[in-house]
Amino acid sequence: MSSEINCIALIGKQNNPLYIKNFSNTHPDLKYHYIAHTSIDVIEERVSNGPKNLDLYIGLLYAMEDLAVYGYITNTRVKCVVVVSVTDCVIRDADMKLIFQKVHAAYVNQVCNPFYNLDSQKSLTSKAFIRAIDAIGLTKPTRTTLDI
Amino acid sequence: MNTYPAEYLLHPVPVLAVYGLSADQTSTENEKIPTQKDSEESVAVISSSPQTRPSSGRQTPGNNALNLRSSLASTLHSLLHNKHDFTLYEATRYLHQNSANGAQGIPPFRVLSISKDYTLPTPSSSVHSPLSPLTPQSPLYPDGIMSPLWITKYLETPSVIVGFYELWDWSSEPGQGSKPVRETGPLGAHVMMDPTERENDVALAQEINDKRKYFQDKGIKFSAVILLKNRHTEDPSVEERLNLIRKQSGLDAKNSFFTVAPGSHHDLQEFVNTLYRCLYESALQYYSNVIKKLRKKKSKLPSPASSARPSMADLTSNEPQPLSSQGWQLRYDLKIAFFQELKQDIEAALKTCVVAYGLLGDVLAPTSSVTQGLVSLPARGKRWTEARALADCINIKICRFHLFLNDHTAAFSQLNGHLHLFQTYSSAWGMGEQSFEYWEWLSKQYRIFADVIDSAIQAGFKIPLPTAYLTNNGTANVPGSPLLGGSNNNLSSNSQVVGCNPGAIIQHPGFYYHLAAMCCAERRRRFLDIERSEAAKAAAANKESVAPSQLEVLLSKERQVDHSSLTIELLTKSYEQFKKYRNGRMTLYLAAEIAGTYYETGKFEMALKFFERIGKTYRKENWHMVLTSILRWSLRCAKELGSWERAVECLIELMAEELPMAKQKRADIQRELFDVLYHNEASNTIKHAPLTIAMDQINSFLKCSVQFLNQTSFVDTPELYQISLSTDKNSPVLPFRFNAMRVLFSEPQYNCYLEDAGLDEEMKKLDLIDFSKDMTKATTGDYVDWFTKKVDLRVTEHQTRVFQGQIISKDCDGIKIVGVCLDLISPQWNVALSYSFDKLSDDQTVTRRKWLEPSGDPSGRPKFRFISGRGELSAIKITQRPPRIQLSIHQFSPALLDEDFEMCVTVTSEETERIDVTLCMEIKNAEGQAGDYAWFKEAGDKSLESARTFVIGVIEPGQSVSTVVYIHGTGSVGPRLVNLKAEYVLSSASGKAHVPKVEKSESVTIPFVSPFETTFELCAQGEDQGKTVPFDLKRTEKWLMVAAIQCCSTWNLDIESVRLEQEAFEHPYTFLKLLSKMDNFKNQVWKTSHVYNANYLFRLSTMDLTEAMPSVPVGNIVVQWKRHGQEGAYSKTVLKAPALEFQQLSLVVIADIPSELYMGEPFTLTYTIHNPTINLAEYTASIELSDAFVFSGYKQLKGRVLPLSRASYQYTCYPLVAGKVRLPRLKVIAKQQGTEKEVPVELLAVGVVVTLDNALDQQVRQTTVEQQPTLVFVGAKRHY
Repeated sequence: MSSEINCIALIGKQNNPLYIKNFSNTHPDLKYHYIAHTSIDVIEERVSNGPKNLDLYIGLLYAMEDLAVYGYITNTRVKCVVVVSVTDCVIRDADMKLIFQKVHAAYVNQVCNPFYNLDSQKSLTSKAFIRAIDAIGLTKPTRTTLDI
Repeated sequence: MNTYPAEYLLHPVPVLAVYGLSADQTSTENEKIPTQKDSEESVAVISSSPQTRPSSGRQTPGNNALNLRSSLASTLHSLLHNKHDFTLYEATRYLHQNSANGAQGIPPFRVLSISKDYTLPTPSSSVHSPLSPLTPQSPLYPDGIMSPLWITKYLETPSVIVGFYELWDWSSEPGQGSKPVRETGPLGAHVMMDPTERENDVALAQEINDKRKYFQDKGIKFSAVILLKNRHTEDPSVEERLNLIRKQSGLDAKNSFFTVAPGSHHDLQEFVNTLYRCLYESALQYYSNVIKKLRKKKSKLPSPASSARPSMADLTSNEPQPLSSQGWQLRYDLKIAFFQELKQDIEAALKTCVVAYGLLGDVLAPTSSVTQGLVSLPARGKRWTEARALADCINIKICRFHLFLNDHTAAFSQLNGHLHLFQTYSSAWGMGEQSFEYWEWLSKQYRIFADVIDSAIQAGFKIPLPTAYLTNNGTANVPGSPLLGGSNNNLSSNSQVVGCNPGAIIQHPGFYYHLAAMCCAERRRRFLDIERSEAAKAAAANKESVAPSQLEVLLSKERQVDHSSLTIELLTKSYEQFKKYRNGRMTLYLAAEIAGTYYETGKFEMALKFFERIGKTYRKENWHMVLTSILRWSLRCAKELGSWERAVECLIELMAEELPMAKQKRADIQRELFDVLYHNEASNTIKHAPLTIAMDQINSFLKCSVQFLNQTSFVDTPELYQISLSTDKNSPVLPFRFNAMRVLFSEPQYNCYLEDAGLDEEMKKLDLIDFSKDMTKATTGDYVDWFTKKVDLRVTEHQTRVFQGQIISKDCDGIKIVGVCLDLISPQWNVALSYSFDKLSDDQTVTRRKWLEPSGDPSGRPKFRFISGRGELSAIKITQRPPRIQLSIHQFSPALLDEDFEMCVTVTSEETERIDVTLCMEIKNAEGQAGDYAWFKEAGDKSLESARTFVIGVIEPGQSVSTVVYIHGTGSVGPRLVNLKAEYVLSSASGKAHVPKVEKSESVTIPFVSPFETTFELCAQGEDQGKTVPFDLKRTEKWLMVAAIQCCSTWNLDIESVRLEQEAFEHPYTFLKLLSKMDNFKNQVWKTSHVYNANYLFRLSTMDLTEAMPSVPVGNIVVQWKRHGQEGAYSKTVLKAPALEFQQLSLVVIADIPSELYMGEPFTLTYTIHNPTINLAEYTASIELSDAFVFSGYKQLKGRVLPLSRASYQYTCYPLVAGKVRLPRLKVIAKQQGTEKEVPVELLAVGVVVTLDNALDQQVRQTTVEQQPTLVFVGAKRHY
């Protein structure tokens, strides 16, 4: 994949960061924290302005410098953000959707833990969850872009 | 390369030149400073008609007409010149409006004022224009491509010229007040014109005609405008004059010859608009012609392939090469594009621009494949600089045109293409990505692009959503992927495969401003890098004086640039854009960037302000990583500024574990904090004002919570509370010693001030420090009268320390711990970490309350135990303490009325100290009767009071005191409520003022029953009625009263006596006399239901029967009694006896027979009609037959009987049968007081018996109302 996942971020419904993982070595973690934070507005705007039956997958939120930020929102208003680096290629939505669905599944597994407090604003520290996210971020998916 | 030539970037509009309006021009004419060019013509004008000079009358004072004219001219002048520059959107609005809805728009014109004697620049003698690269004097000679001067030239070359003239008038002649009055007769219109006017008009026409011819020759449209005066509009001859002028000047009435009269501003504006509309076509025509000419020239160019190639040797030489044919082609394309723009033919201009851009790209290419080794422009050369500027400008134009044509994809890909192209070129030019020049250029490109989008947006362009393609699939325009549309046409309609290239999505200008800012920041970094390395090199070179190299020139130039303010400006622009798009969080990010840039520039104050402002949101939303960064920056700023208070705040918050940081760094933070507080010289020079940090507002490394053991407590009871300080798992890394802890209560008298004991021993993970005992009151210092004690106030990571204290409240109150302050005190500092407990955090509401208890054995760890409730209990309610005595009442109910009912009250003290008790008692009757009373045996006072107080006195702890109380109920039966209340004060508290008494109440319901039930029977014993003849007004009756007294008590009663106490009765006629009684006895014991009959015989007599006869009260029967076996005096119960009354006598028939009757023996039956009343009675009577007798006497009779007298009728009867038989009955119907009724027959000696119950209510008795047959017993025959 020419556009690798640089960062996966989960944001709670009170706009608190749940989990932010940086997979790149080009940018510091801080950058992705900022990006995840700024994505909140864009997601909220899309959700409020969008149609009522808006897909969970929101799509490209914005591209900033060399990073493209994609968004996804669960029914419980937990926001997922995936940052990929911009190369001059088309990124297929189906592939992004797949990534998000995996992230969503990982989060659902986390929520299924009866000891997990859904309203807690603390970051996720579950090992299983972190492993799952790492697996999503580090796998090299099959060719997902159409090179131009 | 700081700015691009404005000429390249502005949007051109057709040029219109006007003359004859400006005051300056007239004055120049006045002063007669003919330029070289126009001297000839102006001389001609002067010679031909000096009067026509518009300004000739200016010197004439008081000529208002002239003023009027000049005001008209100046208004027109300002109207024509009020808009000079047009944007692309403004300029093309006219075309759109005309095509769209036919509304008359205003065509754009750039208006030049020229002098009246303006001439077009005559083509120079040489073949080429002064700007041509072929002209040696040209700045472009020999190989320049384009110069902004060329554009300037065409911006000053009119495509249409308008001359303003005024009609000659008498008034403008000096010395002439006004024009001579023309005849206005019927033939007035035909009168010949004034010859002077005529002469002037002809001259004017001639002048206009000359101009027209001159400009027409040059292909420029000429129009004339005649400025009329107010007066002219009313003058019919003016029409003729104008016609004449027009005809003679050869101008078309519709499009070339106009008149304007003074009017309102609006009218004049309308005139100008019409003028524009009429001339616009001509202007476009002019430019079309120019384009045609250029095309022709371009077509004559040799093709690039066939043109001569310069040899490779030439490449190395720095000799300027003449412009290649490619260069010429480029020149023509640029010019064509410019004129197409002038024509507002944007699509054509775009096409030409794209072609020109392609050519330019080739020209600039370091090595070109197309032109096969055409010499590249030497980098940083003059031509190179020009060409680059030109390329950038064309790029901007192309972007602008694309956006105008609403093709944002093309616009953005043009920008990207441009950037890519020059990125590749740049490295070849030696200004690749390492050079600040590259970044400067990039920043500029983005910035201008942002500007272009911004202006497009202002003109109505809409930024599409990046995901627009997701929602409307069918659009042919797949953003960012023109190739996708081409190569995967079959796929693009399938949404599954749809995607987008994030790099090709156009976004709002904020993003590009931000990019520009980032590039600018990068530029600064690159510059600093290079400068540093250069400095190092220079140092290495050991100050050898070398001539400044090119790089050094660049560097010195770059040093002048204030990068940071540029960056800040760009960031601010971006900030505003994002704000406009309501992207609040992005603005925070930008603010952080701005602040960082301020920091770099050393504007720490501004930076700090920004950081403080944005930190709040990140803190609120728990973005700890970001907050950490912000705090670190703030800390640096604060230190730079010497704002040590702020630095301490940052340091304290940075110690919180939530803020991600390496352990070592955290330790550094802690060391730094203590350094600032204790050692650092800079921060310890002055005494700092006390600093309070609200820890619940920031992330805190130390959590503090308070817990009262109980929710409520009592006055004077020690109440425990615990303050737990728990540290984060990994912070503070080093042991952290507070100097003091203050516990603040809502009532300041409980405040505590705990000082550090300065211990150094090992600390446990969890320990309980009890400071509740042995507190002393501070006598000195800031905290006078606070409880104080020395305790260990150190904390370290992953530790919980619980401090246990106690309060003893003297009042009923709500007491709350409002805050806990942990103080760090150094000689110069007093920092308080303040915790308040007003708000509950989320965790606190759900967790159960815990209380740390010391373990049983001294070595064991203390343990937490759950106590009732959830959350944190920082307040306690103090109420009055509950009584700790027992009140028990011993009694044998039910109580009997009239007795002194004994109850034994025992007060048992459960207090730990001596108490002083007072007992209050009150008896409450259900009906509120006042007859009941109570008293204490000891007090002895037997007055009739229902409530009493008795001081019992001191009771020792655990002892009990009994006292006997009596209650006495009288009157009605029923329950009585007895309230007993014990009040006491503790002996320790006695003597103090306002000591509230502790009260304990007890109440008991005592049922009261009557000891006796009495029924009375009153029997009237009739007197012999027969002997009341003659009349006697005296009357006497005997009454036997039988009182049956039943004992109702469940106890046996000792009865001392039953006595009748007669009531004194005084009456003039009526007397009562007790004849005999039977109640004398002593000391009986009555059991329950025992009935005792007391008999009393009375004689009731009256002296005068006719007087009213009252009822006579008999009196009371008094029973003296007590419970059997009980000590004490006898109780007395009074039973009220009924009153006696005379029988109410009425007419009666009394039958009298002998006592023994025998069959066969006749006897006499006497019926006596007795009238005991005082009224006369009349009656009729008849005898009824009886089968048992034969009898003789009156069968029917009628008579009267006088009051108090009687009448007798005798019948002789002969019994026929034996046994119980019926007597013949005399039925008497008496008429007495108007009513007739049958008088009952009575046998002699039937008395009245009245039975009364205990309450003296007459008992219902079966009365014989219906006549019963009077039966007698007849014995058997005695004699045979």
